Amino acid sequence: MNNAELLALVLLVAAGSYAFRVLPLVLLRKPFSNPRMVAFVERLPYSILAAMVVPDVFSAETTGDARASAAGFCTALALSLAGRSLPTVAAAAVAAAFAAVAILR
Amino acid sequence: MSSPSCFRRGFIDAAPICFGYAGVGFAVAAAAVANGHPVWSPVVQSLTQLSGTSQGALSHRAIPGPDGGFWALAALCLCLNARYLLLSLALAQKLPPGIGPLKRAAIALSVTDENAALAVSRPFAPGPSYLAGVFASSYLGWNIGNAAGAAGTSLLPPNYVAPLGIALYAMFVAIVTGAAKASRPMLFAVAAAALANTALRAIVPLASRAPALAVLASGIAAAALSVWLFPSTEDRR
Repeated sequence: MNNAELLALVLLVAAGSYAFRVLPLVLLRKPFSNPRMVAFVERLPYSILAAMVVPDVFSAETTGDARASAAGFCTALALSLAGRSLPTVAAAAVAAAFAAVAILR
Repeated sequence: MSSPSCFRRGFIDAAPICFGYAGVGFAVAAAAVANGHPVWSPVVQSLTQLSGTSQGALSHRAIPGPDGGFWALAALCLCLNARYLLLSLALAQKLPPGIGPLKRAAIALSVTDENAALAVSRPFAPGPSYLAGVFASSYLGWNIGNAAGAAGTSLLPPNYVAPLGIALYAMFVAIVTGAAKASRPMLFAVAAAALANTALRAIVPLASRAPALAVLASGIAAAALSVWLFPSTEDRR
């Protein structure tokens, strides 16, 4: 993808995201009455995020070394299960990946 | 309360969000540059979309391949951000009466998971000035974080910043784990999506050449299956 395509993609996503934000405030104004629709829209982002993580996170491309990726992923999962905040989880996973690279090379 | 003091109150109430966004924004932008994005990419993204999830999705696969990468990635990001429909609807119920469409269109800029949660949880009806304060605070934090992350990472040699790529995945793991811990249907949906994507990659040759499309298909199928099996949103642990 060249720079022009990347810019077009960024602006398209920005416009679409704003449309989702503005439509309910200006036009719809009433809550969805269909619980299945609500459940689907609620769960969709999380299922997509999960598919973005697995299996890509285990590839070498993620950090340059598959073992470092695995170390980062396990650290992130453990701290998330322990209820740590998002910045803490991200920082610890990066530290684990750097540590793995330093030790294993 | 006068408008300036409402603005100030919103700005101060959102200070924790501002600091959180600065940290997350730094990591997202750093990972984008580590993944091969030009420095302007995370900066333009943070200026135009106040959204960590879609920005993370755009950043995590550096430059998508030629096989339908553009449209699959656009659709993927929009599916991620369809949740803003629900957040904006919740916020719309909470606004004081008599706000015109232009002010509502401006209020829409402020809608993120954290900002909407803050606004909806207030003991008063949050007006345009208050929400402008919330927006200013969170937007400032997000953009300062992104600019610093992009600039800082671009100065380091590529080999050295490669492990930063894990930051995005770590954030996704934190977001997904938090939601899956709170609700059994959500746990089912995310586990099914991860399994489906892994199976697609292993079995269907096209899936490996168009990863964004495989992620999109797995996510939609898993969410739909979870709604078919567990239609109620009330079934929380």
